[in-house]
Amino acid sequence: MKLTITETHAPGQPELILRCGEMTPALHRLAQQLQTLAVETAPRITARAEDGATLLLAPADIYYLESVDELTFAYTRSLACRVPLTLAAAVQTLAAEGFVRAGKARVVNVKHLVRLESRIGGGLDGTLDNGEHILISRRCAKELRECLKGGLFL
Amino acid sequence: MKKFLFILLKHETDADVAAMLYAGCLVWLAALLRFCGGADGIGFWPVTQIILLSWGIAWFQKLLYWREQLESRAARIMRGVLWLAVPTAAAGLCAFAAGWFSGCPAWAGWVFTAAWAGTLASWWLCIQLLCRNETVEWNTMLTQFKEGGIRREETHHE
Repeated sequence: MKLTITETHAPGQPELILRCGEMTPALHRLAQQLQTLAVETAPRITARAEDGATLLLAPADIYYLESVDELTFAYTRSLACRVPLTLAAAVQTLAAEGFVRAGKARVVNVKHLVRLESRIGGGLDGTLDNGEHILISRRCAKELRECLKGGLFL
Repeated sequence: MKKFLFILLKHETDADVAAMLYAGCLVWLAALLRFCGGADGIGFWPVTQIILLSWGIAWFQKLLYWREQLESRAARIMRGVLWLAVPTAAAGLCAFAAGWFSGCPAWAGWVFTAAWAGTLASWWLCIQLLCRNETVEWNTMLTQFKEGGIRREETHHE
């Protein structure tokens, strides 16, 4: 197998292109392993749990981030932790992980959305895979549309 | 203050568009029923009252959906009922109280109210259908996004 690495020095996330004559099961497995590796090597976020313990959260485990009284909290399936990030910084850092603005005070991980329902006025009711609902404002729905149409993240 | 005025102006413009649509519909409906009831065309004051009523209805409906919020099915239905019932009742009451159908048989006022309710209901139905179509579109995009973790492209060499 030939391995070519091209260094472009351009901003943005790296892209792996697998060029082959035929997609064999072995190559499919390799692609899946690369996908898993991409999730595992994604930057971790330092968070402080309610009991004061310091945690390293994988972006994939975060359902959404919320700003309350100028503090940012990350919500996983079972935890609510304080993170030392502003929402703007979180969107910038985690955009490649599928995080988009859901409202003025909320950022959602698109990968945990299982259903979207259009509402009168242009907003969206998003259902997360833990059954929670999240409101996506009309303004942020445009951003979400861009993310869903254009972004293919590993 | 400047920002507040800008937001107010933006919403006022939105409400004005709906108000124009409602006023046009109500004036035409009132004129038609007056014609069918054997009376002359509609006068200056009823038209002015209809325009003001339309503006009030448009703002009421705007305020009803002012705040974007997650709500239960029951709350959603309640807002829908209010969206439909309050403008219908307002138009019916104004028609009788201000005498828009003076010189016409009594049925004109009732038919006017019923026709207005029907018009609003059909608009409501259209809005619901639009929302349903958008929901399907959003979920298709979401599914494609989730399935698109690995993008496959096929090229054939001769």
